[in-house]
Amino acid sequence: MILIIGGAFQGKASYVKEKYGLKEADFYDAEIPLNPAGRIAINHLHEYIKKRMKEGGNPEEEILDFINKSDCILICDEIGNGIVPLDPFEREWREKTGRILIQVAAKAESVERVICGIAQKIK
Amino acid sequence: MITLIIGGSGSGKSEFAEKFLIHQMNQNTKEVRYYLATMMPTKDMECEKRIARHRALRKDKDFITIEQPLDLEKSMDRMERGAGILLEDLSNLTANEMFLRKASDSKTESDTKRESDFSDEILIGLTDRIEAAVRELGEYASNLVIVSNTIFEDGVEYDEATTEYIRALGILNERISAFSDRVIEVVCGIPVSIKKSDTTSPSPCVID
Repeated sequence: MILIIGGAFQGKASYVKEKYGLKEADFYDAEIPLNPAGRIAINHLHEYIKKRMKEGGNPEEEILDFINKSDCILICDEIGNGIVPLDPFEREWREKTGRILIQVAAKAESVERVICGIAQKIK
Repeated sequence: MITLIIGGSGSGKSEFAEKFLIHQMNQNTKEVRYYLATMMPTKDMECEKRIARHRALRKDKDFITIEQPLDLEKSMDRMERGAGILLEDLSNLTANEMFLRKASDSKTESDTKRESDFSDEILIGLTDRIEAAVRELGEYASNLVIVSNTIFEDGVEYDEATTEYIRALGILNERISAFSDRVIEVVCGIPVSIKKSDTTSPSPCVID
């Protein structure tokens, strides 16, 4: 499992396609597929977390479960590098996303941070 | 040895900072470790939870907690020289100095203080004072680890008071980084070296 992290619109998905040879069809947008075939990428993981929090789900458990049994590349926006928002839900979302990413990063075989389309391997 | 550790919310910077200070001090286990806590305890549940989480992280790590939400320079009266100090964190301290001092001085409504404007002189005076206190702490401690936040990358335009706060923390991060031996950014719990006395290019760094 590989984690790709970086700000919005930094070329993360294009980087993943190029480096890991993934096709558009291998990408899932803010959703976890039931029975994925081969290596897939989940884009906008932060949006998945937000969606599941709103639905009352447990994104943390769902994501950690999924990465344990699948060959995947998780792509997530960096959302924690701003002023802590006044809205409690927005605050909790940032905090939770950060905490999930720490656990994902700890399990990942590689963590790459994409800035201006350029990836820096940080793990 | 002075180390500045930066990171966003939920980046794992606090946990890393604690481990890093202990790692730095391993050669001298007899040294005392202080945890300089800057959060102003309130009746807010979320704030309480945050403090409790940080306390649980420090449990069994032998830190002596010193509460210092304002006037950082006064903290040295309560700590012995040559110890390890973890300042947690610069962003809270700066916010307290900007927005809580007036409230605690004049006991005015908490809402009115956010509207108060910060002239250049006030802001520079405030950052000068905090910077001087951090420098002094760095000389006072054998090892000083400063935790600060990355709050500069969301492209949102804020009200004037918040913008001034972002500016103040930007000035402080930059000035403290200049006299720090190391600057480390924590991303998803992973330390990324931004400054190391002998190198200039950022690269992943490993401590354990």
